[in-house]
Amino acid sequence: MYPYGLLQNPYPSSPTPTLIDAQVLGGRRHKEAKIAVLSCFDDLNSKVTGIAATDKDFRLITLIQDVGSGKTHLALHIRGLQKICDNAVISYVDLSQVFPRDIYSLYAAMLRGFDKEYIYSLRKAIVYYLKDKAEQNNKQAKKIFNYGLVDFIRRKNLSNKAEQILDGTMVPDYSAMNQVLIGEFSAAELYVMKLIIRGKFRDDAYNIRNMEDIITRISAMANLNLRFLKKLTILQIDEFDSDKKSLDFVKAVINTHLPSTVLMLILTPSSYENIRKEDSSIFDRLEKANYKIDLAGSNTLEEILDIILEYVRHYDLQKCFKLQDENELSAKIKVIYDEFPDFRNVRSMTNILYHATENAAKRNAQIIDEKAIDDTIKTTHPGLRIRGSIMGVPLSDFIKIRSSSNDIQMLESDVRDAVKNLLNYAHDMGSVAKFEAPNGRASGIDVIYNDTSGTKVAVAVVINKDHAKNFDQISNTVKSVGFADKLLILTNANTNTGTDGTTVVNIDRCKMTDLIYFSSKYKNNEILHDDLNRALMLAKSIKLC
Amino acid sequence: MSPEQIIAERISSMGTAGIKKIDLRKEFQDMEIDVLIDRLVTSGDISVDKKGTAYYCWHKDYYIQNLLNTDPKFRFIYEAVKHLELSVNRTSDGLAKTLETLDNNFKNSEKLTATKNLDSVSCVRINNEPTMQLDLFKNEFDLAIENHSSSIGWVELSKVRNELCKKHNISNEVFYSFVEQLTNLYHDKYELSTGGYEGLTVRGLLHGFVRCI
Repeated sequence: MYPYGLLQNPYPSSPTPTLIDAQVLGGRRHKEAKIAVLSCFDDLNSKVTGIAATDKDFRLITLIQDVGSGKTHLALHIRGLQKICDNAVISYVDLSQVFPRDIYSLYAAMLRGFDKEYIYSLRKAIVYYLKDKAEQNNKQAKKIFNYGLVDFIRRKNLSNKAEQILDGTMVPDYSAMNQVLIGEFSAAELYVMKLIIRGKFRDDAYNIRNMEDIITRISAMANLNLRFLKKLTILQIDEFDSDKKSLDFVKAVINTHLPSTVLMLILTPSSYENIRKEDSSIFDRLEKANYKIDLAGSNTLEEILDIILEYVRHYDLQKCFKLQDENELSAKIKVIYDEFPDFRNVRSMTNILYHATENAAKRNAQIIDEKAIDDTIKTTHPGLRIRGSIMGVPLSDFIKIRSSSNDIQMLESDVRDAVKNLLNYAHDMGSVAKFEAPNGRASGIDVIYNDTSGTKVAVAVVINKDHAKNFDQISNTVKSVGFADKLLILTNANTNTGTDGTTVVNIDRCKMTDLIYFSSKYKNNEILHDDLNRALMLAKSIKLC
Repeated sequence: MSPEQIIAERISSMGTAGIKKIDLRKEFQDMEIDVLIDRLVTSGDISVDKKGTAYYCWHKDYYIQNLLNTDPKFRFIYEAVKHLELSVNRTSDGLAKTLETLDNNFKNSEKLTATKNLDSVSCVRINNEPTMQLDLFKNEFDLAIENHSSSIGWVELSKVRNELCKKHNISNEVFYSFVEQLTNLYHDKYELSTGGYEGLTVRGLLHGFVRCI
């Protein structure tokens, strides 16, 4: 059993999305982009009402964003939508898989991009269209099915014959087909229809001679899709780049204004810039795209959080994933996001979550806990460390300390204890003389000790959310100290304004976490050999010794 | 022209085909061909080799080509040596480049001390002298992005770098140090994208494009 009562790991394991992974779409920006793409289809659908489309019924969509931000995921998600399946046929081409690039390989890839169901449904629609013609007593149409007296006597009807053509046990009379359909369909359409009936649709890549052939065929296909299936044609070209052949291919497609077709180009900002340099003509066309889908902010925390949570929500059939679980998981993700710039990316984060979920499942953990995340990062990214951490705080402890430090008073109290423990430890190591508890005269002083040179040092920890309060408190503390040679103020206020004999040290969240982590180990007698020098370094970094 | 030069030129005129020693003797009957040829062989200007039953002479410029054309063993060895030479050259070039980079990095690290404080607005220092406040840089950076951005909002970092480095007389290192701080501090305001020829390295990838969200 997986965490949150899930029956499977909700996160994708492959570095690039699959159709199944892409069923889940999270993130406000991704959803907005999806709405934009769908509105483009709706718009075109509303324009294409008859059986034939015009060259006005072409749309160009560009989807530009950095690698790993969810472009392909969005494209595949759209491809899998029921609404799209009902109203459009899609060819998805990943140009990174097309090599070498030439018009033949590009066309072949485009034909492969259509799925088998589409080819079957188009084939069936065409055959049944011919059957209908034959049933209307069209003699030539009957000839297509080789329907004769013997069939009549054997009580075979045209439907039987149509099924025979579909299952490949009968070859239709193609010359009769020409005679029946000529005038109603263009030569290119007739050619494509025959290819489809023959089941040789994808082999057409070997028959073309030039770009003109390709454009004529695609155009014919789009017309047939609309005519027989009442569907738009969508060509999705992923990893579109500045390769000359690809540019020529796309340019021809755009210039032709393929009927009832949407061309969706998916590319990175870098490729877009390279296209600008390579071919100003095609760049100009991309600039004038009907829809320029922008995934700006696709790697922000808010977006990544929603995507991560959406995966769990999608697979949470038993509704075990409560609001509290969402909040806890979000807090952990936030720490990863804040601390590791490497994971400020949808793909990297889902990868971490995939492994963390597996780890949690192996330990029968009910949630994706800190240990699961810590173990994952240690295994998958062994070199990663919390930025600026002197104590080498493990991520699991870091997450725990960060979540408990939301209460500022508790944080201040923990840091105070930690400073005392650190001084105790420094004393044990001989770095400072034994410290004393402050007496009543010293308001705001937490600890007093003598350093190695005999200077009496008073330490005050001043931590507030409101930095203005910090300044007041620091100022009061400074005034009240007349008995110490030196005052050391440890604060989260961004100031280093110290008067004579006063040293103000800014301690950021990372230092505080280091202190609290050390303190916890010290109290539990868990200080290891490795920690000895680190602790002294930590004390030096905040000028305790 | 000395007799040696005359003979050398005649041999050279035959190219890779070479000329028979006996033909030279017939052609230059009034000269002591054997002596002259010995001298030319000693000076390295020509080579003499047996081809079939006859001795042939080749000029030094054509002898190797003749061997390459006629002797497969020689050709293989020659190609192997060439390949080795190329690989040695490449290695030494790479080594020189690495040394140069190391040297530059060392010099830069001496020059540059960037203070990084994630909780506060900071400034970059060179030789401990502040060059520019981060908030001032941010304003300039935002403005440059706005000025240079394409219709999709992305800008090549190199364009912004060119402008700001020139305007504020700061080095590339300082510029990218600022950009790194900005994009870390305000990661919800800036977006980086892979590609380009210079920029910041994130997740091992060069990110040479930026835009404001």
